[in-house]
Amino acid sequence: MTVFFHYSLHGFANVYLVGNDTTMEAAIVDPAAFTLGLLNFIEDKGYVVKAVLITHNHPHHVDGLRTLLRIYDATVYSSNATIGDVACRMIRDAEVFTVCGLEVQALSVPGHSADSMAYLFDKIVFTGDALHAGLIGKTMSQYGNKLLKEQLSKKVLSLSDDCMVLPGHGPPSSIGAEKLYNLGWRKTKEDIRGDQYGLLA
Amino acid sequence: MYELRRCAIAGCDVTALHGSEYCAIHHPDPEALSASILQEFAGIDVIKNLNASGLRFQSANLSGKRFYSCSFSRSVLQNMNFSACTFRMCFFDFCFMDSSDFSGIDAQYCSFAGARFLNVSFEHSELVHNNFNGARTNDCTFNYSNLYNSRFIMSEFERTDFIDCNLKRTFIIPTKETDVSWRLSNTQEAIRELDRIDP
Repeated sequence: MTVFFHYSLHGFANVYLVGNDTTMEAAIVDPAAFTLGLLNFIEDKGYVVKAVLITHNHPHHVDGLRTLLRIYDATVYSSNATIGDVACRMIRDAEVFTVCGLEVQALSVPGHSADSMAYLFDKIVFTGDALHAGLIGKTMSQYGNKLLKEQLSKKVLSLSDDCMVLPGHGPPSSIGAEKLYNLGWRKTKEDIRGDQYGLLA
Repeated sequence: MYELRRCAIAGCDVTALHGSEYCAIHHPDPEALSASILQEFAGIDVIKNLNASGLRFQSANLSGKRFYSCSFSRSVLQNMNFSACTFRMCFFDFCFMDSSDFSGIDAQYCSFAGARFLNVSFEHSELVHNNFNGARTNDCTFNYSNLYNSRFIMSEFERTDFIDCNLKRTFIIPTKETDVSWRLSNTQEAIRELDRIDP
């Protein structure tokens, strides 16, 4: 398996290409934009894109999807039934499936958006906007924030420390680093107040 | 991406090292493996998919080499010369670096999270899209470097200079800053407050 990173200026998002070097099939994670540079890169490497994995349906992560599908006949995997007018193969939390001959596990991590998914390939996890290096995804409410932290703690931080974290924006990280150096785990005033009430109760 | 084969010791989930069946903890002679890896480096300029996590390297000149998808996580790098090297998607998490030269490097999409830097120079480097979260630096210099889109969250800087650096979209939210110079750097374009984050 080979992972390539492409920085998309559209939303400053990360686009990933996961290639199976035996079959020369590849999956794209979050096609933020499908540029000529990315196309040339895929073609130069000799891959055929057979799958697209969507971490969540936000424009900076899916805007290149239609262009990509005009070029490659790929299956789109998402927790949504459709992305725009594109039909998706719906995936559920904890579902293990195979793309391009590689085993993937889907991890539902709602909070930043209701449809947020992370994808685990062996010791590499694509976290989309749910988890970035040093930060967790932006949420619209305290409920969303709490839910996101719970889901990340349960499903992502429980992975081994040397598991690589490849997020939708910003630099890469590892689970070990995120456990220690992520501002998202810092307690807010509300958390501390809640803890105090919990203690009193 | 380097092979994600597991260590041959039953129950060990750590990835096996380059050219070995074992991880650094279970390898019978990690020093010999480090020496053989350095010997291998001597004849090649491009190093791809190498896992050297947890090994110790010292006093080697790897100047100008290009590293792609390599891991030096939790390794010890002492008196190393990496000047003018290229790094893409390389991991140096929780590394210990002492008196090493990383000046003039071109590092993109790399992680140095939780690394400890003592007397390390990153001067005149392209450090774009890198993770320095939780890094602790003492007597280091990043002067005249491009730190675009890199992150220094919960880092600790002591006697470390960032003179004339490009800090556009750089996250600088350290927990400790002692004797740090940001002179001539565009600190106003850096992200120093969480309110300015819009992922």
